[in-house]
Amino acid sequence: MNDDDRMKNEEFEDKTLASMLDAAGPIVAGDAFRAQLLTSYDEFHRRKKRGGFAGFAEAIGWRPLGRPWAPAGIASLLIALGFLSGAASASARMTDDEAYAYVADAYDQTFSIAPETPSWVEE
Amino acid sequence: MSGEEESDEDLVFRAGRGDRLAAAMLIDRHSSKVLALSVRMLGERAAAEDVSQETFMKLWEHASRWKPQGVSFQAWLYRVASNACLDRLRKRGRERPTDETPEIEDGAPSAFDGIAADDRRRTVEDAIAALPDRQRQAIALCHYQDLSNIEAAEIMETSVEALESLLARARRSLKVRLEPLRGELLEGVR
Repeated sequence: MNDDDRMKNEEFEDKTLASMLDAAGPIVAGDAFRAQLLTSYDEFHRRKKRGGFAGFAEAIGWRPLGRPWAPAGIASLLIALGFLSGAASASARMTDDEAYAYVADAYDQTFSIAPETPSWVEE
Repeated sequence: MSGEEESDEDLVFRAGRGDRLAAAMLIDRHSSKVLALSVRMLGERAAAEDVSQETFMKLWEHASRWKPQGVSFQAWLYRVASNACLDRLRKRGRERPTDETPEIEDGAPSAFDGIAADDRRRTVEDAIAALPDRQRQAIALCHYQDLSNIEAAEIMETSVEALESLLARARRSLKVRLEPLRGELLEGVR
């Protein structure tokens, strides 16, 4: 068999193989699957429109955080926590009088403003 | 309507801006191709559907900022899909070295007498599934997706020579594996 024949033979064999491979038949995406893909598009854009909060919720996998009332809920929680911690620390706070006494005390100790009499005055 | 088909790139641009119709057109054009590539590479439909879903999700994520960057949209989509398939195959631990040729069983023609279309399909699928991953990817792209060697090499991020070598080895293995069924298989596609 010369080179030309060998090439023709190989080409024929490849074509035969291609025909045999065609026996696997076509693969087609069904309507249900296409609809599923379109749903994923809709979901993606809905999430994108809802903004960062819902996206963040999705990213950390905590879905309740993505619900519409979640930002308001979190804000209320923070306000309540702030109120409670403010109330708890109120008793530890100084009254105005105490604060004044403290400052006055500190002032006296640190910056005594009693006039010093220079030594030459007495002379 | 001009009757001129809108390019994939235009549809991607529109889909990225929230145009649902453009997204539906992209799905119509490419879902079967992506699914077929995934089925050929993974050998099972359920996993292939998952990969196709992932591929399209990636498309939606990238659509608003998608730029050609030297590859066609189709090549980009196939690359995403086939990389996702290879990842899955690696996770399954099925990957074999690309130059390893699987053992070929001795096929007795009499065992396949009168095989039905389903059996023919299964036989070819099994022969393809027995190929090493990269060879299977090459056959899936060049034979089933009907891409040129240049396009397939681009998708596989390899040289055309390397792709041709993969194809030659894959064809050799397939010929040996399918030879006993040649008559039956050719009968089925006639």
